[in-house]
Amino acid sequence: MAEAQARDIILCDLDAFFASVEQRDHPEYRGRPVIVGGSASSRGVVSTCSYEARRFGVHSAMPMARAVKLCPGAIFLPGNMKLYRAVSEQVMALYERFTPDIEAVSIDEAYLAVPRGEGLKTAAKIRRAVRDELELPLTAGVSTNKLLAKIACGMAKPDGLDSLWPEEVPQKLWPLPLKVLPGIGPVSAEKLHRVGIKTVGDLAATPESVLVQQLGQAAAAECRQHARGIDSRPLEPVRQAKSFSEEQTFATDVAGPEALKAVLMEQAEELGYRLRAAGMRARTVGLKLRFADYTTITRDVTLAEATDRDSEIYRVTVQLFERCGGEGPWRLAGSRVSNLETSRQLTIFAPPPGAVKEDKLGEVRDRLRNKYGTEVLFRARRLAGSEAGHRKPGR
Amino acid sequence: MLISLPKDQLSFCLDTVEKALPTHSSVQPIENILLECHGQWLTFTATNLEQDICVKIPNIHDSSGRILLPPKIVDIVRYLPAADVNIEISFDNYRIDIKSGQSNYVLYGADPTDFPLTRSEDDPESILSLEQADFKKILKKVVFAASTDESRPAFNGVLLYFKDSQISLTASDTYRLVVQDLINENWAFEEQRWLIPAKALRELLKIMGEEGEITISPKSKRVVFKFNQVYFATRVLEEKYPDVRGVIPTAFKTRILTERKLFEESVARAGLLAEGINQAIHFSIHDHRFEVKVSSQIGKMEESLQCTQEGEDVEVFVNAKFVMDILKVLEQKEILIDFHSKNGPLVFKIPGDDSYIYLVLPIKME
Repeated sequence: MAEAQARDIILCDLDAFFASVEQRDHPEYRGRPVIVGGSASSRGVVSTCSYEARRFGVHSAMPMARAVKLCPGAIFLPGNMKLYRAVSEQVMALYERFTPDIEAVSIDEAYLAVPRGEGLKTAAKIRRAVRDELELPLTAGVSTNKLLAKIACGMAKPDGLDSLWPEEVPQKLWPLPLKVLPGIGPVSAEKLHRVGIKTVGDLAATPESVLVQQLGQAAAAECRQHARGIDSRPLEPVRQAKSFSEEQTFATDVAGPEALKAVLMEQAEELGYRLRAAGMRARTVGLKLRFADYTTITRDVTLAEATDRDSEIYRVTVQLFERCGGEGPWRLAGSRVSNLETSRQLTIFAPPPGAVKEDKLGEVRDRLRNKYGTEVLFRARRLAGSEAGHRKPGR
Repeated sequence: MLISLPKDQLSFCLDTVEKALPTHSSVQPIENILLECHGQWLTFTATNLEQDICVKIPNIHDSSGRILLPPKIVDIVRYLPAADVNIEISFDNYRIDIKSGQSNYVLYGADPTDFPLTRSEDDPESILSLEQADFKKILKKVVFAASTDESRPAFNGVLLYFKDSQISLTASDTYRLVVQDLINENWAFEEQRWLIPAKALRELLKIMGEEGEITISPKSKRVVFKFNQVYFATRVLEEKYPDVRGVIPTAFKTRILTERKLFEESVARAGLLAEGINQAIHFSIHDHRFEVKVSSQIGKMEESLQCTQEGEDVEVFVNAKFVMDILKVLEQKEILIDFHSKNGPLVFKIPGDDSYIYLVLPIKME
């Protein structure tokens, strides 16, 4: 901990990232409301909007149809994730020039740790570099922990720089409304309002016992810590996912093996999609089953060659199911892929025609899913899964 | 019966046949070494049923017989204190007395009746005879590329293809491929192909000497190599070897010529940070610069080498070990590499020598 305390934390947040990239690359969009997201006709949502659009009340995650109503004159764009990801990588590479200790939180947000006392200076340099070299607006919040850096960043938005040091918590943080604290959503805020807690200062002054009644034990303790500006979470450097898993507890136990296999197919398709989306392939595929008497088994198999194919994941989980699944009924079924690889050694043999066909099919399905946000194409085997209850295809 | 001989000579015999001792076996007799004393000769034999190795040395002894020696004798002889060894063998009760300097061993041998002897006096005539030193060099450049993964048995072998005045050796593990052609106007082979287990050839490499000839005699399901006093037989693989020559591209998109030793050292340094099963390192070629880079969870490095470049710029990821394998076995000062875009093969060649190619498929970054 001594080491963690000796550092300043900077939260760097690219303002209205996707919209800013579009405005940078298309000068004609500058100064105009830009809204990036799904299409209104297919119930898409806003993923980012420029500050010009925010003045009309548009915000991210809002249904696109509503955004169109609020701001009909905006420039609506479907977005270009490939470009945004590439720009994000450029930004991360730029951060790396200033410090090796970086935790990328999302495509447009990262925590950086620098030596104590250098936070503000470094943050200013980073903002200048991002503006000069990449022509993008960036807001930075500086403090000694992630919580205060995040709040400082919120105060500085847009295109600004601010700090919030622990000793400034009483003057700067306590007068602010509860919603500035991460983890306090509208529901918790409403509950606290009812007992007269309106500002962060109120929260800090409230005995924990009162908070426990409103929020429960765990949340109460955390909120009080946060209200006092205390946050002990360490910086977690870029971590690659180590595994993906899907599991389902059935509303009523599943008795038939065919219905269970249909669930495994659904999970295989989901895991295949997630692997492909992450650009990864798995060497190990596992199955988890819980029987009606709560006995739980997990089994896995390591493959000769890593895969991101639905059919291969399904083949292995079904094989494990047939070998170790025993007699139903089953309470829970789960599939898991691990031992993930981001690269693939090519071989002198062309892949078999069936595999090429499946890769193409997977690509089309993934594209449709990315576009419509839900599955529009699935394997017929899953129709047998209606016994397994929820998450039927085409939901 | 009494045998006297120098320790070095006995050690040579035992160390050589030891390479064919099975690591574990369900057939008891073959866990031992067969010693045959006949006329003026001593013959040591070991087998794991896939390979047989015999060493025959001249020796004057007073009677004839056969006995199974326990495998421990290999180490025992290695550690004997004096330069000469006397061995007294009783063929009636298979007792072995070993004396060397002040050291006396008694070993309990065994009845040789059930030892499977596949060697026969009527081995076919050899079809090829080469200098051992040359053959060793050739094998070193080929055998490393064969697969050790037993799930695809054909790739555990090295293919020897004879036709007219040419022999082609091919080895691959599906990720890379070596083809070595040997041409000699004096040869006139009938067309034939032999798939020899790479494992056997690796052992052969260990026991071959530098001087004298080696002969190769293939026969139905076995190939026999004879050199010095050694007889080395191996079962051949019966799998069909896929046609791999089709993957060798005829044209290149980028060609570079660079110094082998400097390149080898650079790849060795980059390989230190390569990780995972793929051991990926990154080659980037532009403007006659050859950059070797690596970036992994551990860290990153880059350095650049001089090269002469023909064709377009290229970026490619490749397994560091696969590259090291070739750079280590070649002795030439320079090496030529052909590239075929980022997902096409890298083809390593020796400048001015069309008889050898090493092809490696790259790593595709998702």
